[in-house]
Amino acid sequence: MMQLRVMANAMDDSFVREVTDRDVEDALRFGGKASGLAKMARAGIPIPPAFVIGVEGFHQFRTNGGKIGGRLLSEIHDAIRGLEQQSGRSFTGNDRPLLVSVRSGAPVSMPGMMDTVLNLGLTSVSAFALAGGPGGSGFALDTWLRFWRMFADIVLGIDPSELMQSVKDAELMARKDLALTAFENLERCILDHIESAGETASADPYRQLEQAVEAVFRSWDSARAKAYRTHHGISDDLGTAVTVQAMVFGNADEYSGSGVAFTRNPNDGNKALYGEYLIGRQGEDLVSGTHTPIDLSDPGALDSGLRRAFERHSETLERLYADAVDIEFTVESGQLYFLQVRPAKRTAAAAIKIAEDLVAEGVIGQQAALARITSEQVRKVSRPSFDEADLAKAVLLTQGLGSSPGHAHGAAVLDADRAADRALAGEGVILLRPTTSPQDIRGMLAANGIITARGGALSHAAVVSRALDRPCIVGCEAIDVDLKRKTFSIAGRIYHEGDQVSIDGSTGKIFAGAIKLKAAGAGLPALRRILEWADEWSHASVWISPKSSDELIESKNPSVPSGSVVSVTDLIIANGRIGRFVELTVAAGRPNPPRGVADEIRAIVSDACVPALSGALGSAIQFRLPRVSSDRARRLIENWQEMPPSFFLPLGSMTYLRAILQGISAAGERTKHKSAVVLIGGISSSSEFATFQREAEQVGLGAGAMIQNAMALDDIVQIAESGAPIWVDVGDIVRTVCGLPIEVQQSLDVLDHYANESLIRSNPFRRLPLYVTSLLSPAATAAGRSASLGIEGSTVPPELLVELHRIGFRRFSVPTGRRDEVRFLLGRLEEE
Amino acid sequence: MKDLNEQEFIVLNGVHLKKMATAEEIADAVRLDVSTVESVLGAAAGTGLLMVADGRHLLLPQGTSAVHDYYRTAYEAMRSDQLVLAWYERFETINGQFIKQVSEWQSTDGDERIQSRLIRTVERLTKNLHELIPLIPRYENYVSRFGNSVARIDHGETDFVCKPTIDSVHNIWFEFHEDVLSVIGRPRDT
Repeated sequence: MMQLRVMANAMDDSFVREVTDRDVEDALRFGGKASGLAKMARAGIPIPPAFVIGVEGFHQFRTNGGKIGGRLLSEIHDAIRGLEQQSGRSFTGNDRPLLVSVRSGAPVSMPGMMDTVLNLGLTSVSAFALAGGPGGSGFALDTWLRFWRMFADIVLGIDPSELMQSVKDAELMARKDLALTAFENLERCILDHIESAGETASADPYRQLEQAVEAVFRSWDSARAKAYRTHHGISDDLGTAVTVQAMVFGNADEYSGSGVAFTRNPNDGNKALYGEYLIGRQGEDLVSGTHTPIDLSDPGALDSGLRRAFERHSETLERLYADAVDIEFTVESGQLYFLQVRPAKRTAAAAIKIAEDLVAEGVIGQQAALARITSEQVRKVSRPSFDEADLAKAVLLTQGLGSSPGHAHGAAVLDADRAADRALAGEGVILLRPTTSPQDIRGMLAANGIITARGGALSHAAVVSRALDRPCIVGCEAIDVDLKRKTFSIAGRIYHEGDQVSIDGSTGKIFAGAIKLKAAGAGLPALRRILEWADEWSHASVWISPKSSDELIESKNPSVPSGSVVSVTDLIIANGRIGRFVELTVAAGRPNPPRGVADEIRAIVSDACVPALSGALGSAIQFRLPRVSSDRARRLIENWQEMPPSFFLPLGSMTYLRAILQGISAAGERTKHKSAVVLIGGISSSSEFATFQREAEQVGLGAGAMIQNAMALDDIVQIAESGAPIWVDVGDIVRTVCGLPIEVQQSLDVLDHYANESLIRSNPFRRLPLYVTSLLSPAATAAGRSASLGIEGSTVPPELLVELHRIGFRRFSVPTGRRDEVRFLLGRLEEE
Repeated sequence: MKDLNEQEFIVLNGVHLKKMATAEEIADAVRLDVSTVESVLGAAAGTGLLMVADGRHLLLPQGTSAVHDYYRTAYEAMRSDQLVLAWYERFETINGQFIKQVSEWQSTDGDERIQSRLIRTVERLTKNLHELIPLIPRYENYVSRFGNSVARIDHGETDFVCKPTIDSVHNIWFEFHEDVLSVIGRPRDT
């Protein structure tokens, strides 16, 4: 008996199947959508009746010269009769008409394929009959016209808003006057507009269904779908299926309704039914916001039978998807239907909480949890936020429309180019403009945040800021910008360009002064746990390179065993003494410098390092020494080329070097920080390092090195043997090996573009060139033996660090704001 | 000051719409070869129409008014052409849809359904653009730029939806909007 059934199935060669047919679970033959429906049906999830035309039907359509053949057509008609029986409705009938949705369903979902057509099946006669029902003529016309808009747009390629515009009078008449002639007139106007646009359509739903199916089949060969398949090596012969499903109505009676449910709260991730339900309404009413829905988290929102059904099906679906899902559902005369189920959309915080919970519930493993979260989500929840105590004291200037979240502070600058220039000089800026346009891009990129006096949530500033992930406030009508005078005024008070402001891109609040920022993500318990897992998997330690002592203190995280690498130049900039320091550096380079120069250098360095050292008490801190040959020094020092050439060598001026070392040492003594380490940059041999080590030890400092050239990599094993902390500045290595100027490294898009044109094999800052990998291989091996050999990765994208981790490096140093993201990415194993 | 010829206009209009762009970026956008673009830019720099900083070009006030003058003369007839004005009215409608969709796309972390609707809107514009191309042949460039960027989105490079630093559809759309406003002689609202 069993044998016979299997035989019968194997021999079933019909094009069209009901989705409850076991064969339909084969996505290759019946497409992803139908296969999903079949699995749901088998798991006992209630779905509206549906059938699917398999890819064999598509092939038949193709061999038949792009026409639906007689056999396929009659199978479709049979299947429609099946839907009629199951739903108790009648297709093209006037009373209780059966309406269907038509969707494409390729085995692999791809762009350019036809979207959904809903509500297919009404005629002027049945729409008129529907108007006499509980929904009235408003519902009947909305349902019917929604079909025509979608059919025009998707099947015929006619602009739906133009169609609606041209039949506006006829529509008004039908809405006002409940008469069959008005409905018939509207139908005629629609068909006339379609004809005048050079297309043909019929009022007969059978013919419309046929056209919709043909449109799905034809969309397989759309230019976009073809290009996608070529790009991904997908065969042109795979073909697509078509799913046709009965529509159900939430406005059928008082025991009906529609809603959207989440198995977990999509805002915070808590495990509790969440969502909205509208009694006696269709799903569209929920979207339009014209009626107030019931909150599903209220225990009394659904009657107990429905709630129990929901809980049971939610659990089944979460097991089926191994994830939280969102559900579009309709209740028709007391019968619950699930229309669409997808992995739930969620906020970044919810994504992290849900992933953590699913591991605790045993649904997925730690690696699967890490794969569920994106680095963007980690970045979002680790964004710096205002220090609460500082915020409480801050003065609110005004409030606009928060349009891109995040907290930031900086000098208000009223011109994009000036903002870019000031940011380049190391200053934090907030770009404040009347409005922005594409011409302001440079300034928007450079700014910590953006304010516009005009414009709404859809303005250029809002859209671009979100794309750039910059806090942004638009529509601050209270701000008057005077571009000529370089001032702005709020409530009669005048402010000048350069005045410090702080902005909250969610609430739209603008404050006077710079409110302190602190790292936020570490405060989120679920993120802490996820990052601990990531650390366990990666065995990596991620250090930070803060730009100032404040940043170092704000981002200290006792739960993470790592340290900080700070640049002495950054500390001097943050301390406001860089101008004088540059003068002293130039003076030190002249023959016979005055005696006071070294003393003053010592004092400036010491003052700059004290706050960092006292902030880092109890944790490791290493100082990058200023390097006169660096690109930054070249920009900071006027007449740089007049410096004596010896100054450009790492140990070329011992007096200068000693003054700096003594300054750091003095700061160590003042703060009782015993284990400060200094890093020499630019060296190329182990003998240079040995000399440096002696100099550092003489003033009680530990010695380490920042490796920045290929030559030094040759000696790195020797240098590392002493156990001294060594960092390989991988950005500098790649850049110098490839012979690129720093400007190119700072705009990776340019190299991406270059690589896309196949002028180079790939962007070397995104994928390590083989040559660089082999240069690094002794260092990678040494890193396996010495934990103190790491990668300085502040200037390269995280994907490069993942690659370096793969070849054996386990210590990394990155900017403060990227620490959590990098820890997370390193913990994710490569997908097989 | 001498009036711009068509080629000079096309190049300088590219600078005008992009501001601070390299010769390569302008050549890409206006579909001319780089050497032609470079020679036009070089000449314009010589006559004080634009300045160059770090290989990027910026129109000086004289250059901006030369571009505006060209728009005024070349497209004068269109500013009262009912067909063109009606076309623009239709554009306003889909412009509203597009901007709303971009914003929705962003606020839903790139929801695929919204993305496909957004691309359909782009395709709607490129289809409508074919009605203007007989009058303004250079608009063909926008069609091919949109096509390229949509293909990149389809390949999964969703930065081509609205990242401002590349030729994203949002960028192209914005440039086109400024362009068509200049053609019909209207200022931009926000």
